[in-house]
Amino acid sequence: MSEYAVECKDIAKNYGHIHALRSVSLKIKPGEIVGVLGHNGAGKSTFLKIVGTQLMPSRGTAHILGKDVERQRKEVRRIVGFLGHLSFMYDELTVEENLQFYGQMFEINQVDLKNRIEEVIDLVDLDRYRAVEVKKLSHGLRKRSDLARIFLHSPKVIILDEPFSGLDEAAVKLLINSLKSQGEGATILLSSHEFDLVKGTCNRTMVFRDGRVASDTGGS
Amino acid sequence: MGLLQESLQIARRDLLIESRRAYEILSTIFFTVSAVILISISWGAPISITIEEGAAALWIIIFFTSILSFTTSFAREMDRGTIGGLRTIPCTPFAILLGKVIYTIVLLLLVLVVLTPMSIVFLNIQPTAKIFELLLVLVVGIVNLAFAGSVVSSIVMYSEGKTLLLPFLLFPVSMPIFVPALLASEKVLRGLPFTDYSAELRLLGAFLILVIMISVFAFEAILEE
Repeated sequence: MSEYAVECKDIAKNYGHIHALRSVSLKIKPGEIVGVLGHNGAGKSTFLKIVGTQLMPSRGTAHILGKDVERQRKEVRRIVGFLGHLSFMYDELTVEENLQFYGQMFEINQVDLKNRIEEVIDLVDLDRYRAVEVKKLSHGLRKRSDLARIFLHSPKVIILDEPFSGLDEAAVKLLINSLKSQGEGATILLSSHEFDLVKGTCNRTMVFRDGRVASDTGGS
Repeated sequence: MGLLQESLQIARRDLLIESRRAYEILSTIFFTVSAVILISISWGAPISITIEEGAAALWIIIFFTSILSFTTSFAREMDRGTIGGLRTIPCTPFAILLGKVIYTIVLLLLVLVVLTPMSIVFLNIQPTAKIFELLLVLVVGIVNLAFAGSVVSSIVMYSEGKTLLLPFLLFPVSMPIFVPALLASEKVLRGLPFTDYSAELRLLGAFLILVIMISVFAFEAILEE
């Protein structure tokens, strides 16, 4: 097992002539809560997507707990929970059916899965909406259902891309509380525009600018 | 979890979604019914339609209904962003493709359930003809089409013009399926023995192996970027 939860060496991502990420090298220890800050187009989402196996880097290497995001994608996905801009829940299925599907794909056995679904639904306070089709949920409730999805397989590394966007104060509070209880011991990377919120939640902050890490403060 | 189990879970989920969007299945069925009736009227069936025309009509209808299912296969995942969810699942990329193939096969078999009796009534396909042999040819063709179409659907999902690209690419790709399947169906309807159309079935089998081999190697690259 690697000493680092996340280790990136010179990762870059290009979309044709556009350099979304230029050269990022960093190390994050297990248990760290890292806030990724930066303006639009700074490279935050691209970085998180690479670490979360949603995108492949054009150059460089990234490892999650010693596993290569390109070569050991399947193993990395077992230990990573990724919450993106878009919801990954299926509109026509209920919250419970969605969780059932994702849980089965993560090979959680049927008895454990039933209990785990109960736990995560309670955690994100979605009990009243468990049998509701996801398309009928509001933006905030939908985000909570996505949060339940990523907690389902108890990931060691949790990646949240703009988790607070579009949420009211109460929902943000709930999200932070659920992260604190479910994400205990896990490494958390979250991106946001809201500097104060990130400062209050994270013990390390990185500011991305023009595809590079412009500043990194609070790391152990 | 094995490859087949993973694929079945994905297919099961897609079918559950489809069952909640019953109007889409109904539109496919309605397309099948109206196409059979229109062909029947325009070709003066059921009396004067020939075996060649009957076999051709079957495959034209199957081809066009398959396009309807392929447009919802990967394109919907892409449009709604759930393709990202598939990229969070720790399974072999080929299992995702196989899941979509199984889902398409089930939908096309549903079309076949409606198409077969309607063809007997409206397209002069004799119930006395070797119906099980005909179904075998149709099923083999459908499995081929489901595989090739799902691969094409995954390739075009990133494009904005996917609704144009899909039929445009599917047409040449499905020719090696369409021609032998059509010839085999015609021979079955003529009442010829198995040895007379086994060459076409072998050709379909070979094409299926080729498509599977290509998708095993190429699908990961298609899905991941």
